[in-house]
Amino acid sequence: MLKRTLLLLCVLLIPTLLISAQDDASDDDLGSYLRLNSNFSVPEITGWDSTIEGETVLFSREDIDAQIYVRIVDTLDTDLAIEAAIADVGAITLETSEPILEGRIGRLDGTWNYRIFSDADTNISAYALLQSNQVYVVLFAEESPDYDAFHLAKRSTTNDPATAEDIANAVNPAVVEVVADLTGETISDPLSSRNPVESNALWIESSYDNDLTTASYYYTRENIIYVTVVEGNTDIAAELSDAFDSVFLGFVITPDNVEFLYLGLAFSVGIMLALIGSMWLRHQNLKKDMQVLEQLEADEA
Amino acid sequence: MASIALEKSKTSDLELTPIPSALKILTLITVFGLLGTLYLGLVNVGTDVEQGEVQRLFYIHMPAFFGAFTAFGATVFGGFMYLTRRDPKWDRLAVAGVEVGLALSTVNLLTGIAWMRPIWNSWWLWDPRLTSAAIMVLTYAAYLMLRAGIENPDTRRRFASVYGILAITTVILTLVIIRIRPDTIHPAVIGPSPQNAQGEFDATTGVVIALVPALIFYSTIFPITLMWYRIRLENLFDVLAQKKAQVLG
Repeated sequence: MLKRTLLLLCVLLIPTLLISAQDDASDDDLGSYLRLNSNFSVPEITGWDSTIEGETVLFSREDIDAQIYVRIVDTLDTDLAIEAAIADVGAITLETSEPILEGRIGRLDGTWNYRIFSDADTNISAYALLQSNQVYVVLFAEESPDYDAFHLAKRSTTNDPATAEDIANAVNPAVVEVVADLTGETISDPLSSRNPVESNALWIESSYDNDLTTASYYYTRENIIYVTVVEGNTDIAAELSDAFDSVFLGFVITPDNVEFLYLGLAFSVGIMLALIGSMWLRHQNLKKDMQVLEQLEADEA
Repeated sequence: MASIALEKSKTSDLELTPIPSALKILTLITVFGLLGTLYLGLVNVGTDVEQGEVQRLFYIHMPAFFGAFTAFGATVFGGFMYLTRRDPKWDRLAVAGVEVGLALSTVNLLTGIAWMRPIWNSWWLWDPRLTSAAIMVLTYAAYLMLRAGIENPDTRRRFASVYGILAITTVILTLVIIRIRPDTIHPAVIGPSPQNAQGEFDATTGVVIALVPALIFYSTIFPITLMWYRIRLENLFDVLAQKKAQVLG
């Protein structure tokens, strides 16, 4: 009996161990998200070096002097949080603290305040979201003398674009607005346009006069157009757009709801204990009744 | 299931018996299976980045429904067999199925409620799936109440068999409603539905590794072990009734 039981236990344990080992391997395979010890995760960006430190993630590309930085700041002031994040980013020097542009954009996860800074070769696009008494900052900074790059988001005036023409009709005015916001100039029609990501019709890269290139991604779920404006090195517009948008759109704040997990577990354990306990109690009562009946039978005999 | 019910076939043969070795082994397997599936769902698999820790309830919520389905299936089988053979052992299987199925479907319902509060921001919604699940739980709770109210054993068994067979419609309704009603917000995990037109099993490897063993365990070993104990209890009821009639009659 004991041998049979031990054998069965071994048979049961082997698949559990195999499953556990397999899960570790699959976690490595997935690897698309960087999970921090706090409650937020950011997707990894291919081709960028990533450094996780405490509650911050820094993605960097030395060849183009660009960095994308994500951090949580314990404050209720988004401007202060952006200042703290800029002071934190390695090797970035910004002479001025006055933004060239600021505003807000409403998304499904909340309203993000943004501030755009430009100073000599340094350009910073910083976004901050106040949630649960903390501010989440996603920041793009570049110090390259070869180009200037900015990221801005605009709400689309078109709903549910069905065709490539609909997308272009929504994206082009948004790009004109973004460039006007940044430079104060109105750009003419693009010299050329292409889709840098063939499998996704929501991407458009356009080249304009004055060495200006924009890469736009129309995120239809939120009806927001994310525009990256690059002046100078036009080859990297789509790449920078992809990297920043991946972080900014893929950035996930994991809700802290462990108490509801405990509540669900308490329900489950409580109900199963009630079932087993009630069966045990009924069994005990039946045994007592049986003893009484046997006593009666013996007395009668 | 038939072999469990066959443990004691005739009321006249009933007597108090010690727990058989097979049931002892099954109990041990159940305890380890329960701990193993809880480990996989609560510890081994990573936290869902969008839903947080509460998503881990899914590894109990869905398997519990599968377990309830097995148990209610046993009730239908027991009911049919009783109506055709009139052997009380099938009625014992049927009532065991209802009691175990009711417990597991209540676990399913309450873990769903604990999950939906932080995710859907509500303790309850009159969504088609939630409503049908609640109707299913109440239908089987009514089975136990109505059954307890009938004195005559034969009438009680006949009534319970018919009720148990008809009640499975609430389980089937709960299963299919997410595929036929486009206005439900309850997600369909497997197969095509108004929310998942592609019909894919939209889950990562980690989720599958935690979920599949739990589904297998909850739909087989767990309800079978519980039902076996419940059948033994029902056997004891019959032994006592027989003894009572013998001593007092």
